[in-house]
Amino acid sequence: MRVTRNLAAGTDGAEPVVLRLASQIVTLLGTRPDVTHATLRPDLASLLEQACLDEAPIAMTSALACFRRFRIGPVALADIYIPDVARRLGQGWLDDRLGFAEVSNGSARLQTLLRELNGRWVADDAETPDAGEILLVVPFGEQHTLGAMVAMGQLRRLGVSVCLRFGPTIAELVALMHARRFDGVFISLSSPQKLDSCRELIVHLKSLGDGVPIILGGAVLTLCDNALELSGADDTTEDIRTALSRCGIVIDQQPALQSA
Amino acid sequence: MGIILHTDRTDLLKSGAQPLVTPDVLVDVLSAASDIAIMLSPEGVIQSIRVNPHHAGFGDLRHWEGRTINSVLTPESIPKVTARLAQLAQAEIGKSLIVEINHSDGADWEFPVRYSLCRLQTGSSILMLGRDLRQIAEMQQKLVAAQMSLERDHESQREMDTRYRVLMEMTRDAVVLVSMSTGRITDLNSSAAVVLGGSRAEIMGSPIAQEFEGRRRGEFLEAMNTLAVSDTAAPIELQARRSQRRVMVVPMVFRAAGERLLLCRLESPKSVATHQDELTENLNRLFNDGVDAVVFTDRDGLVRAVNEPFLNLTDQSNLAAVRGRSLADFLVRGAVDLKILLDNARRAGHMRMYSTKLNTAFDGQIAVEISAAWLNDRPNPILGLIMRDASRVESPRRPGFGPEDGGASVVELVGSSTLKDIVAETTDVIEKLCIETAVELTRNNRVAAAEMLGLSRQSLYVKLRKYGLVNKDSDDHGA
Repeated sequence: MRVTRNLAAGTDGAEPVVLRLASQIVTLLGTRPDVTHATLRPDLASLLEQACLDEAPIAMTSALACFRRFRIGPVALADIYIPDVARRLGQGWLDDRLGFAEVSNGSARLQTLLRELNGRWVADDAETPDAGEILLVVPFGEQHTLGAMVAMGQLRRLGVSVCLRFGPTIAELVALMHARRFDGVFISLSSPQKLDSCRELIVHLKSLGDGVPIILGGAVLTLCDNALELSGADDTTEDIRTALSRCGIVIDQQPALQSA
Repeated sequence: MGIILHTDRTDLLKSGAQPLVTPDVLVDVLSAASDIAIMLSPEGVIQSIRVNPHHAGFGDLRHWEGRTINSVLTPESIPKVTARLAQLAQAEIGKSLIVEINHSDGADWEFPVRYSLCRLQTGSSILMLGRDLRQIAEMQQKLVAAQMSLERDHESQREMDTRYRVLMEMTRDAVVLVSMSTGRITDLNSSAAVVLGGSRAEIMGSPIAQEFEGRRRGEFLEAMNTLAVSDTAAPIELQARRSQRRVMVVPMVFRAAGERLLLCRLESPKSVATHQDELTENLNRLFNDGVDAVVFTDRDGLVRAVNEPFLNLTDQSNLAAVRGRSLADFLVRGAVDLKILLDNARRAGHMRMYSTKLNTAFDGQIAVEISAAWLNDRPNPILGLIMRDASRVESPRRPGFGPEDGGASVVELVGSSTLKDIVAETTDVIEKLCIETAVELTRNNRVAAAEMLGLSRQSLYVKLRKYGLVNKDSDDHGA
């Protein structure tokens, strides 16, 4: 009671402070996205999976409305739900529950959704402090691009400026490395079969001799035990902060969601 | 007539007598019905293989006969076939299962096939009837390629977009873009928002004519258009409605993607410029010679500039000893005070009458009243603070918040969560905030903090734990 009385005593006959305090707090809650649902809810993941497999666009619209109702914001959707649904689709093919035409269409819909979400995040702004520049590469022949897109979103939210290249030629990459100064090169790879060509790429990048760390990530790490040795990368990790710290970029603040 | 589409197995053969076919005919029928037909031994060895004679492209696969099925599969397909065959062994005779796999033959040749697997008799061979999926695979490849090119376009657009945005924000010129067809503002930079006297978000999308006094839409655009194509006409002088400032409007009309756009540069007439200079000079003098302390910090609260009265209040010797330090160093509740000031100023644009104390260089404290303004008319916003010495007239004001601005967010919240959830979350936030403040105010004296909050020591401790406010170094104090 004492607290309320003190606060409500007010200052200059205006509204009681406690009312203003509560109003402030409700404002805070209203502008606070995502923090409450950092763990995956399987029922919602399954709902998103169904929406991805549904030909009618309305399915996705209503699934997203459902996510909003549960106050699951774009960050959780991009970082937790989309990767999980992508894995579910892949597993669906392995179990012959889904044909690969369905899986292809489903992941195309996921990627579209992710692209829309990623559009919200701006890191290359004049406003953001300098949190480093990263070259993110999906090697030639690699079909799985979703992981790289998720990583790109995470990097941008951490304030890192990302240069993304899909299936670049070695000459293109070498020219890019000469023209710009990156703090690190992240390679996103899924298929163990592409490790050979990935190694060739890394050898070329290393021969430039500028010592830029090359970090390998992606599903290949779970599919292949010795991806580090086979690829010749400096390190392997699936955690974006670990990858950044290998490049000397330490980010201590919480990921900030910025609107474009 | 058409084809009978009964799916019931008995229906298919109902129309005539049970056909008696020789094995040769059966094999021909099977291979004609599928793109690829394989008879697999229970041990997984390909006993025979037939490719549909009408379906070109696989070539002759007879060299697979005698090889195990695994030897003609890609690595990821092997566990799938193994699993499906094991399932089939458990299933009843005649029941079919589907498996999609990729065959590989030689180093580079891969092709996807969707098979129906069927065991004809217990312990017998397995019939695999396959549908060629190469066309679908090709479509999928095209889809992936299209997606990648979409992402590439998206990235380069993003780069251009960033350059455009940074250019708009960094330039000192006030620039407004207007659609000629609707007469509405499609974009403007922060400098233009300052000149027009509103926030960028407010002005965006509003009719340009309304931003100036005494102008109608048609007339305004007409005038701008005439002016833009004329070589000799001088810019028009107008008065901005919101800021009441007089501005010179320099228009240019151009077309982009089928739309006629008007680019207006807003310049200050000379008189305005002098007026500005005078104001600037006066402000400078007020800053240097005034009695109240004035502090400017960056968005994170790092001090950029202070005036003499601030140095006097805090007993600091010179500006160099202050600049670059966090304002929290000078506030008695440190980061808590700073956070309240920054958060409120950022949210509402300003905050008034915030009472706290300043730490002086000699471990003293002095009561002050602070008003803060968030100056965000630039890419790097600045927090401007005026501090008044309140030590002589110790005011009854308590630490509190500025005017509320929660209306819109409340509307957003209501409807997206239940009342129960909102109340529960609000309670938690209030509790945490109050407890943090009490702990700060009592310098982590738990007994005093508990008393201040009207809680038992035990329940305070439970709540401290609940909100993660117990840290190692303070763990043993207080109680």
